[in-house]
Amino acid sequence: MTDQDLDKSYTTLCNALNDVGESNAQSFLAMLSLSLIARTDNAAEVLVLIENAKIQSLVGKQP
Amino acid sequence: METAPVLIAGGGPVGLTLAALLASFGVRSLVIENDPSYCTGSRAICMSRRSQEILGWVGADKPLVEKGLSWVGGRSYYRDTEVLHFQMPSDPTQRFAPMVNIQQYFAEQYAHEAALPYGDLVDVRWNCTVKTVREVKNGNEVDVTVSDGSADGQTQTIRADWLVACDGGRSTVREQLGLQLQGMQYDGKYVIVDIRQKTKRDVERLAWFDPPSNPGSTILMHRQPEDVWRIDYQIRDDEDPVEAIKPENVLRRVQSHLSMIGENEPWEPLWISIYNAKCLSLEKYCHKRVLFAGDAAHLVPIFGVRGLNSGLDDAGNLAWKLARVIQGASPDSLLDTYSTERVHAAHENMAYGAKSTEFMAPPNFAFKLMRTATLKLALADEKVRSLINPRQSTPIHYVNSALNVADKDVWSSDLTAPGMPMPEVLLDDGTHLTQQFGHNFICIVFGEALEESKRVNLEQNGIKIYSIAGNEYAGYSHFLLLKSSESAMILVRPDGYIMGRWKGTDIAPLLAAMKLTEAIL
Repeated sequence: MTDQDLDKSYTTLCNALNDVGESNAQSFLAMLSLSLIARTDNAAEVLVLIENAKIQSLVGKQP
Repeated sequence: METAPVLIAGGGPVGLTLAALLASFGVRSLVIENDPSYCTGSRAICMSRRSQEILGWVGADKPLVEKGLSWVGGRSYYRDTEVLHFQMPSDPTQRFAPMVNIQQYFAEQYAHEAALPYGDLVDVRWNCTVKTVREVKNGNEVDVTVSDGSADGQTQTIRADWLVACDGGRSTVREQLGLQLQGMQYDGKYVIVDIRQKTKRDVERLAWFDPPSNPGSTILMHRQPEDVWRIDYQIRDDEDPVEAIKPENVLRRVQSHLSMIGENEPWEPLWISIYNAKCLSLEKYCHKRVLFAGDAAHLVPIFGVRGLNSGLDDAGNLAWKLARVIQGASPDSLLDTYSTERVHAAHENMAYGAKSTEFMAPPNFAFKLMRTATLKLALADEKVRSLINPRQSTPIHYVNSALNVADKDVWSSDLTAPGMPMPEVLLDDGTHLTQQFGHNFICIVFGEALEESKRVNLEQNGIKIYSIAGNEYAGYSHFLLLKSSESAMILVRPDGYIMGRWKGTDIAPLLAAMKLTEAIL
């Protein structure tokens, strides 16, 4: 994934997210995550990313 | 009635630079400017490498670089943690830094001073305002009011063969022609503040997202000469813009941020204004004998510093073409390529500017949510950091320009493709290739030297020759990728853009390319 491709995908994702609306945002992002996970080579890679996203989500929050 | 071959409406940085460039081609122009002198406040501050190169065509680069603060990169912070440290392409073989920060009034002054040695070829009149524009045969009549300090200004009419509107975002010329900018605006509003404060900090672009000093806001900081900071920060959607720029509200936020980053020297505000991002352009920049350049032609978001920089590129593109048309070397239709190339550039600049704006001032919940996700992830995942990069101004590739000559040979690098700006080369004598640009068509010959008869032929057809060989080879190998035994020629326009490239030493296709500029359809 080049920087340009990442940029393009980001903008497309943001616009699609805006189109589905705030009330559908969680379900939209969940579906997209699953599609991307299913296309990743192996689980080990995915598990690291899940753990990382979890840590960053909880930064500064009460345990 | 007073007459002028070229009347430039607007003596800002674009108008004054255009006047100096036209004079360098021997074309006389009259510049009329509403204000009594150079601009106040500081407005544009970041001058790109390309802008420095263009100003260099008339020698205005030297004072600019001496006075300005050059920089190569920047840092972005999420809350109080650094999430991106970016560097723009820069190496010791480059002539200029990727960016130099300077107050716009200095840029105007240096462009104007560069025009002075041309004597009568440039006449700048301050306190002079365009009132009406009337099309006449092969030109325009322009009524202008000259204010001399008394209550009623005197009106006079100037007949101009060509009128160039460099009169800014609220262009009177544009209004007189009944033309409208088209595009869109963003709602997100930024307060722009210049303050004077001593600092020892490096010259870098600094950005904070959701900083503890101003929770929820985005703050940008740039250093300028003479101990000036430019500070931009976003205000909340529900804030009243009039309230937001009241000094007491601005100063509190600025103080809070300066304290947070440890800038504790005494400071004073110099300039406060408010801004919202716009992506607007005219459909074309050529309307019979009226041409548009700079903000009069297009308004792009400030994020990525493409405003003044694209305006100077307009001037650089227009000057040699208008000079050729006025001097009878090319038909009027050469100016259509000014319009198509620079409209294309405006659209590219707006696309990049829109992306930067969507990150700096998210237009809706989706961009806000994704930005927060990016910033949080960037703390620990370098893969997403490039999304935070501000996409600073770079020269635009003129894809599909009528002046491009399609490649016939096979090339393994696109860096010298037709329509690209010629890459920099550090020459053996310590000078740079771009120092040759700005005045003539140049055939850059790589490898084997051209025979005398071919050299004479090219020169008779208005093409200067510049040969590169020997040790300099290493400097350009990455963008030519020639085999060591190969020769090549690149035809570069006066504005430093590539028209075409050929392997070998057959000059026939170069001469054919020059015919293009004489018979553009």
